[in-house]
This record gives sequence, structure tokens and C-alpha cells, in this order.
Amino acid sequence: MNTLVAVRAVHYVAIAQAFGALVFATAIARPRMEADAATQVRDRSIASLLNWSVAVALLSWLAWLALQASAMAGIPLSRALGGSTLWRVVHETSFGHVWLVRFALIIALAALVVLRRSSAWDAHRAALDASATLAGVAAIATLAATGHAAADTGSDKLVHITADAMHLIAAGAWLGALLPLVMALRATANPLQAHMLARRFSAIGMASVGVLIATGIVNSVYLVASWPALFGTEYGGLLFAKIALFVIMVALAATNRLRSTPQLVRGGAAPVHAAARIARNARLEAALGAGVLTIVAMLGVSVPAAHDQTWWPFPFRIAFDERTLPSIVSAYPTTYAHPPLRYTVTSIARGSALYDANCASCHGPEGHGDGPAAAVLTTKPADLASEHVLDHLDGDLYWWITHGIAGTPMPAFGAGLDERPRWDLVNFVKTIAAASVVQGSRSAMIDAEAPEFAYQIGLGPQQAISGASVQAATLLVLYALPQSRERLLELATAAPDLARSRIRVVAVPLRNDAETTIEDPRLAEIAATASPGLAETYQLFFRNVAPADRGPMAFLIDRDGWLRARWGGSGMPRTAEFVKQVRWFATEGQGAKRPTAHQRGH
Amino acid sequence: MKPLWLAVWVTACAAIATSPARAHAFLDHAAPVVGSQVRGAPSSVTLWFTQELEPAFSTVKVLDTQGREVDRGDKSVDPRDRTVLRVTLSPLAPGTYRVVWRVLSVDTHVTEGDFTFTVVP
Repeated sequence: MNTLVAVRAVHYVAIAQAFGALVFATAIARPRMEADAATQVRDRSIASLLNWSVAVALLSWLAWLALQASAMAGIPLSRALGGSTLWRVVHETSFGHVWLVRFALIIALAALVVLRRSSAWDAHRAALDASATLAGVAAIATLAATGHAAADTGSDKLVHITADAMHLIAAGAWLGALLPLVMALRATANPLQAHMLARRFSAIGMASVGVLIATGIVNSVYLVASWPALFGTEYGGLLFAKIALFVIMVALAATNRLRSTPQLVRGGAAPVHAAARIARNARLEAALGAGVLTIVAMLGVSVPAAHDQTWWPFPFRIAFDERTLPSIVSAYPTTYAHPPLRYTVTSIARGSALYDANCASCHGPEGHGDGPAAAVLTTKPADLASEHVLDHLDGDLYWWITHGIAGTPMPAFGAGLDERPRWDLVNFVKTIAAASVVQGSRSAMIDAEAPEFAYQIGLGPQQAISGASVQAATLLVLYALPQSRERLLELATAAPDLARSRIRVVAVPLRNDAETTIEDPRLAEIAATASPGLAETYQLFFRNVAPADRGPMAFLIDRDGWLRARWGGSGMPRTAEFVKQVRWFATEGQGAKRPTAHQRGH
Repeated sequence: MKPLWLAVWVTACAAIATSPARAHAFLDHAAPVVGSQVRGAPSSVTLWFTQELEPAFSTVKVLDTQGREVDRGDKSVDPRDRTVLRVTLSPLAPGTYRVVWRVLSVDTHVTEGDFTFTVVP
């Protein structure tokens, strides 16, 4: 895989050089001002550069296939070269199809370049060069199909691949024409000729820079997607390095165009010095360009920032809040980290046990910061069962649990607890904070991220509450027997009707034992088993209801995985009214605004 | 390019060639759910990925606690939705099973991973 990066870099440089030399030959060196001996020297050296670039492009494209096949099949290169692996890659994968097309294009390019050398074809020189340039455009543009853009789908794929292809063509036209420009300036002693070449070159260069910036932004939107990802990932770092090189190159190009080129038509010795400066800057640009293409090769095998773990480099971030103006708040390396586990009931239940063992002595049994040890602390523990916790990102909570909080008694648990248990704690703390907000609600309507779970009705398929395959809202009913039996039978009767309104009734026992679990055929359509920790987690949303009143409790979860309403204890109306309310919340009640700041599980 | 620059660049490429590389295409979700308990033996394991897969180089195996393969060796990528990889299972006894996958996404990157699920009576 690593050798592949080097081979990609070589291929990018070679194909850009070949294409740029053709651009120079067709669009910059022509129409000719004069056909003297100097021009012939120039054309010969550019032709030689072109021949070498095409040869290297062809060899590196062959090597790319071999290395890619070895990486795809997960076998050593020596084994990938023998046997059927190469054939399977070419025949059965999208990369293989693109490889074949580009192989044909590079062969065509090579054939045209060979013909171009023979004097017998001199009369058709212009037509040959135009055809070779077209083959070059195609060969460089189709590189887009070998990259990350190929993994997009639908209209995104078209936009991303088009932007990528234009980016490649513009880069090749600029970078590849730099060395031919140097050769041409060296070959000519005529300042007017040099002036014309420099001006034609910079017209193409400026157009390329414009296209590179515009299409570069489009590509970044797809592959980086967010500011934290730009600043906090390896991919973002490479992109910064690439942009820095690009900025230096543009500065060199601007100096050539604005300062040195006009001096080519001044009197005295100025033109000679100006031509030398232009050539020196162009060489420097070409060298930096090779650096840029090498970074591109590394980006090509890196995880795009949009999908990678984010390590935030700054001690602050800008918080955007709907209620107040954007403000600067503290941030930590893990602030934008993607949790390695989802916001599931099983994780929350594990977090609950960890909380009791590690946190409750200070933060209190229910998180209010009133544990037995809190009395002797001068800095009081934070009230975790409170809305302010939700202002922080998951990664902030994770950082505090891992490293403690300086200047407070909050200790670091990074040494005592592994990474996943610490994320379990984050999930639990988020749940009691969300539950504390919900408990303040007098009506059934609530608005919180629903802890995820999977369930099975009877021995049917395992189902989730949200996701692409979920077509209905979930009405989760937690029950205890015998007190909930009548209610369950009524709900079982109402279930087919609710199903037609795209509401699925899922009844789960509060305690998983023989006394509370039912094997009643009339309840076969709603009686479910669910992920461990479900009842325990959802009861957190009813902590203020006296235990005697608990059960049944009901929660309406929409298809996007948001809790829309909850009923329980004395707040649960008779079944007819209850069903009416459920229907209303599932349809009319969708207008309620959702908090946007919450990070969804990765 | 001057020979000096060429030498610098070739050295840089060689240095890169020895550094570690990374790749991507992630498991989005699975049935049975990752880490879950299933009542009754499932007849297949289905994995949904975040990108389209190359069927020729994408595999999934289901192993019991002794490391024996319990799938039918008929893994396939759904032709209508190429993000979906599936394998059918022999009848499973209650117990814990490990799903091991290695996939190639259409942007030429390989990823691998594993998870468990438990069959309960």
C-alpha cells in the first residue's frame, strides 16, 4: 500500500508532465513566430521530455495495477503477479475497468508521440499534436475515477467526479507546461519571442489557478465536510500542506507575470535578467508542483477527513447556539471525536453501573452533585442531571472523564477505565441530563435523542427503531404483570389499526423474569424481547414518578430516532384517549423543533 | 526539473513508501445487530456498509467460539444495493458467534473488522 503511494506520485507527475508538454506544444509554442535553429533545439528538448514522461506514465500505470491488485486481494505482490488475481481485478472491479480504459488511452498517447517524432509525418504535425493533446486530456481526467470520488453515488458522484477531473486537467496544464517554458526561454535569444511565450503561458496558468481554486473547494466539501475535520485530521493536515505549497506557487507565478514579464520588452540588459528570473521561478514552481502531486498521492490513500477520527488542535472552539450569539468556549483534543460506540441502551446501562461504582459518591445517586463525599469538597461536584450538560459535545465529557478537570477535585479516570467504558459513561451522563429536561415537561410531549435498541417480536427478525429500513414510528410500552395485563390486551387490539398509521407497538417487560414475562397468544403481535438495558435506560426518563405508579410506561419514537412523547404513572390516559394522543404525536406533533447541537452517535 | 530536485523528490517518495497507510469503507450496521442477543437462530447475517463494495474482493465469515466456520460460504453483495453484504448460515445452536469481514470499496480501499452476536433459546 505504501509503495503504491510512491507509484501514484510518480504516475501523477509523469502524466501531468506529458499533458503539459503537449499543451505547451499546441497552445503556447504555436502559432510560431519564427522557425529558426533555436526553435528546433527547443522543440527537440520538449519532445524528449514528452517521450520520457509518456514512458514513465505507462510503466507506473502498469505498476499501479500490480500493487493495487496485491492490496485488494491482501496477498504479497509476488503472488498477485502470478495466478488469476490481475485478471480478476481488471475483469471484475470498477478500478479494473477504469484501468483498462486509461491503459488504452496511454497506449494511444504513446503511439501518437512516437509518430510525432518521425519526419515523414511533419505535414500532419498539427493534427498529431491535437490528437495527442486530446488523448492527454482524457488520460489525466480519467484519473478522477480512480479516487475517492468514485465512491459517491447519484448526482454527488457526477458533481464530484466532474470537479475532480477539471481539477486534474487544470493542474496538468499548468504544472506540465512549466519545464517546457524553461526550455523555450533558454533556447531563445529573442526577447520578443520570450515575451510572447511568457504571456501565453501565464494566460493558461491564470485560468488553471481559477479552476483549481473553484474545483478544490467543491472537492473539499465532499471529502472534508466540516471545519473540525479540516483542522483535526491527518487528511486536513495534508490538505493544508498542499494549499501552502499552492500559495507559494501562485506567488511565484504572479511575480513572473506582473514583475518579470513586462521587463522582457524593456531596453538594455533587463530582458536577459528577466528571462533568467522567469526560468528560475518556473523551475521552483515545477519542483513545488511535484511536491503537491506527491501529497495528492498520499491523500488518495488516506481516510477522507469527513470520515476520520478528529483530533482538535486548539484549546478553544466557536460554539454556535440558537439562543445566543456565537461564543468562544474551551475545547479539547477529543472535543469533536466520533464515539466508537453508539448511543444504545446497552451502552447506557453499562455506563449506569460504572457511574454507581466511580461517580455516585461525589456526583450523587441521581447525578445532582449531592453524593456523600460532596459535603467535604470545597469545589462542589457538577450537577450532571441538568440541561447545561447538553451544551457540551460528547468529546468534551469524554475528555473530562479521561483527564479530570484541573483546579477541581474531578479526578482522571483514563488510567482506571478503558476507552469504551469511558464512552459508556458519556452516554449515561447524556441520558440523565436529557431525562432531567424531559422530567420538567408537564405534557406528554418531549424532545430528546432516543437511546437506540433492537427488538424482536416472537422469533421474528431483529428490528431497529431508526434507519433506512425502518418504515414506522415505534410505540415502546414497558410493562409489569399482573397490573398491566388489561392495558396490554387493549393495546394488542388497537395494534393493527396503529400499524396502518405506521406506528408499531412494541411491548417489553420492565423486569425480565417469569413473573413479568407473558406467553399469551393474544399478545403475540406486540410482545417483544429487546436489547439488554432497555427497561433500565428508559425508566431514567421517569425518575420523578413514584415506583408504585410505574408501569405501564409508553414512549413514542419517530423513524429518525427521536423521542416525541412519553406517558406513565398517573399521566397515562385510558386506552382510547391514549391511542388518539399517540396518533396525534405521530402525525401532527412533528412540528416541534429539534435541538441541532446534539452529536449523533457515529 | 534539475537533477538535484529530482533526487530530493525521489527520496521523498521512497520515504513515503515506508510509512504506514490507511484506508476506508465502514460498517454502518448489521443484522443481527452488532453485539446483540437474538432469540432463535438467524438464517443469515447481513452487513450494511457506508460505501459500495467490489463483490470480487469482499468477504464475510461467521465463526463459532471454536473458530469453526458456520456460514454456508455463499457470501454475496446485493446486486441492487451494492453496500450490502450477506451470507447464509447453517442452523445455529445457542451461543456466541463472531462475524469477520474484509471488504473492498469501489474507491479501491480495503477495510476489515469483526463483531459478535449471541443466539439465545
